[in-house]
Amino acid sequence: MNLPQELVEHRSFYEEILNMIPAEIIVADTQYRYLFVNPTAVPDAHLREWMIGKTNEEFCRYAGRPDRTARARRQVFGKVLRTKEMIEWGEEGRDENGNFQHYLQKVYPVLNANGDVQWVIIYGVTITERKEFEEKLRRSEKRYRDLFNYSQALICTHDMSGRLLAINPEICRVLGYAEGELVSKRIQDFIPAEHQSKFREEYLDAIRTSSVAVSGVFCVLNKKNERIYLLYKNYRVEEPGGEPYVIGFSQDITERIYMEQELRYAKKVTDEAAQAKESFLAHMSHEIRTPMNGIMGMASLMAKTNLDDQQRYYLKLIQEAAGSLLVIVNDILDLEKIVAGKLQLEKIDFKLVEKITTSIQSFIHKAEEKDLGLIFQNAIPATMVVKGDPYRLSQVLSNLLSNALKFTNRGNVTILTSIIEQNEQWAVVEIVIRDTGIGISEDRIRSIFEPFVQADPTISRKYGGTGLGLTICKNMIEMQNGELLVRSEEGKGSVFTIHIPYQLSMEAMQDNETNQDIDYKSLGHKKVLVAEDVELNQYLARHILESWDFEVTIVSNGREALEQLQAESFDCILMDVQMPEMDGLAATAHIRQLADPIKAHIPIIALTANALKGDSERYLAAGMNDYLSKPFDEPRLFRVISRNLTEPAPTPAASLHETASKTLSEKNIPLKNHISMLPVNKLYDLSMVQSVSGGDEGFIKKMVALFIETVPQNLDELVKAVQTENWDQVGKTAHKLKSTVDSMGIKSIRQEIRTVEANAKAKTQVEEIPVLVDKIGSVIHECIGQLQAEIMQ
Amino acid sequence: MEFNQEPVIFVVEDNLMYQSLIAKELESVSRNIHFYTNGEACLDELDKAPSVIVMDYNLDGKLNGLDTLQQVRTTHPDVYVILFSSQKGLNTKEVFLRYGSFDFLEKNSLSLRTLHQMVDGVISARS
Repeated sequence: MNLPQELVEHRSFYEEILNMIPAEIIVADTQYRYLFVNPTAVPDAHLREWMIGKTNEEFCRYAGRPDRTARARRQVFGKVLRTKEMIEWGEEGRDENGNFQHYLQKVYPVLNANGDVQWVIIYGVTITERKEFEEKLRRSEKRYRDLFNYSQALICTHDMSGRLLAINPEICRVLGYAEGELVSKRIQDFIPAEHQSKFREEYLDAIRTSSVAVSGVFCVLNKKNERIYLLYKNYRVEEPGGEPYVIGFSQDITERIYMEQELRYAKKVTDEAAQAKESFLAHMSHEIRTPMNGIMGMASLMAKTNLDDQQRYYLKLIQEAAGSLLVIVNDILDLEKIVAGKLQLEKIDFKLVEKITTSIQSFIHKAEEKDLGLIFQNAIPATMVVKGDPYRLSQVLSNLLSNALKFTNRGNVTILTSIIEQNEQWAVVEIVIRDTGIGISEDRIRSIFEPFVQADPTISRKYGGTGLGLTICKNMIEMQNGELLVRSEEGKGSVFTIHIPYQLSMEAMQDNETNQDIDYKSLGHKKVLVAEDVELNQYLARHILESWDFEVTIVSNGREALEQLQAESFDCILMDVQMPEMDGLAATAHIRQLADPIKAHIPIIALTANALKGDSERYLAAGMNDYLSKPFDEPRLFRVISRNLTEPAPTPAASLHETASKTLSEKNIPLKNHISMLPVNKLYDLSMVQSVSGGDEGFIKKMVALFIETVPQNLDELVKAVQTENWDQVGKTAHKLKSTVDSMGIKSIRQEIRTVEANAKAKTQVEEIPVLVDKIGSVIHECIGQLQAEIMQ
Repeated sequence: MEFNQEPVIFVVEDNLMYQSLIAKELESVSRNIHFYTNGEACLDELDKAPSVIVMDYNLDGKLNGLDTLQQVRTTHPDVYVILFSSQKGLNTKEVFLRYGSFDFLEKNSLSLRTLHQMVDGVISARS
């Protein structure tokens, strides 16, 4: 080409620029013949020179490029000529170093003034790196997409207003919607009405501001309008230049929620059922107790009437059955009180060893019946006085002993007592009850303290019982800050160990019974009739009594005793309660009806193996003056006999006593023989009066006098009101008596007086009132008798 | 009230034994305690200007404790009345609001000591 100098200079200037550009630049004519090739496209200068004027096909052949490359280029070239528009296309190939490269080529038509294609510029860049990056991106995107598509988690993205941007197939599967039915809808559209505000407040507001993930549970409706619970953890994503959005991950926990709900419901139902059962039992027990008291009251009244032996035997069975029913009922009520935290413990002074001994004594008879040894080894000083609840202690001991005897068929029941720790104020007492019974297997021993559980379900059939005893025992001991432990070997026996810390009482109990030196001959020569069928006891009684210079006559049943008394005079009778032919109670009843007043009022002392509290009351009610539980020892026998032989000397000095007896004689109180009865088993408890008195003896005397003076009148009013069925008055009078009964600590009618008051006021079950009032009357009169005897001393 | 006079306490209680118990319990607080078994007698003697009235619910006579209390209030709005009763079913809140008792104490074996403390507290606060 022949060009002016200026143009040549221009041309070399532009060529230089084109040569330096790091992009391939090729210019071709419309035949695809090369007009210009820059060094980036073809670094080899000779080749470049050779190329000018050659066609694409010639070059490809020369450079060893495959024919298809030439064809592909020609095709694009043709299209550019035709369309006169730029075409962009990619090509792969090896560079001069043999490395595989991606090229992006842009093919431009350059048009002349007529609009025809003049030249074609081919502009190419290597895009290998970009291509690789894109490939990587594509792969990783695929991986994420797979994750998104195949994930078991529910994944979505949504904008800040809750509108769904993308969702994964799992969401569609769980909710039953197609993707199109969800995307661009708001999450709120799927949330039940009552959860809307929660969703807004706890989620949408939170996710807008929280810098960390927001998590919780959504409740959403699926296509079938069922509730689906999703446990979610969502993040807000903020990208520069883009609207923030949220990525959400959640898990379908619907089943778990429903299961939980069911479990919770099931638990509620069970809890309620258990509670209902307990309160039903307690309620029933309470309802049973009132009529049971009626039965027992009537039975004890009946026992005072003239009965033949068979009737008396039947009555005894009734009383026993009623008694054991009452034990069960009381157990249930005790347990209910414990569970409700209503059980109140006494805190009074008592002689520990004496209490334990009495508790054990009442089981001597039972042990004898089963031919078991009952061994008591005591290492606690007999004089020790502690502060605590003697009734609960004896209840626990009775329960454990009764179990031990129940489950032992041969061998012994041993009671070991000791003090395992002591300081000036406290002593920790250990009471061990060991039996050689059936024992408890290892797998059952853990549950024996549970309510209603017995070591073996067959036990209740074989041995009876409610399965409450041990639960109550354990609770009662623990309420006294103690512990109840058990060890057992099946087939060999069980050991129950009680540890209770007791506060030691500072004031020694006044005790007129522990005279160490008894002058056994102080009573002089007396004639005593002993009615006792067991030879050993006969021998023992004779041996002891004769050593006191007494004259002893022995018979072996009630009938013989009656005959002997009619034939001869005695100063006193020791009467066994259980004897063949005619028992002690029947004999006493006959004696009290003898024509000779001296013989009819002879002191009768019951000898009993069964020192249950109710029993002693029964003996006394039957007309006996006192009782002594077997086995007796010399000092106790002496004390009992001496206090019954000592004539109540007229005491003109005690004006208090005079007032009292005058009131009594005026009121013509029944059960006269109770007046001479000594407070063997005190029906009253003056501890409240004593605590108020602050040591003022005069005050206590005044209170006792007031009681003796005012109560018979109240009682009369009560009886009259009952007779005239004036229930309002009954309620009022009972209320008044209630305070009196409480302040004198007359516990045995505590409940009765309350029942009378409540029933009378509500006018319900008034038919029970007469029996209860009867019992209240006789207990109060016995109390008066006991108090008078106390005053006389 | 004259200077240095023992505080006047009324005890309205129909149970004589309980009267004695209360008397014993309160004897260290005052030796000027008056006892009544019915509300009418108590109302009659209000001119003795009691500082405290210990009032049972069940009383001899026509008025019960609340009736008496109500009448006390019409003339003596400031006297400190302790309703001391084992009466079941008394609505304590009502007793406070409607009858103007200052205190309610349930009668049981433990509450005598509490009564003592209550009365003692009132007397020393008012003297």
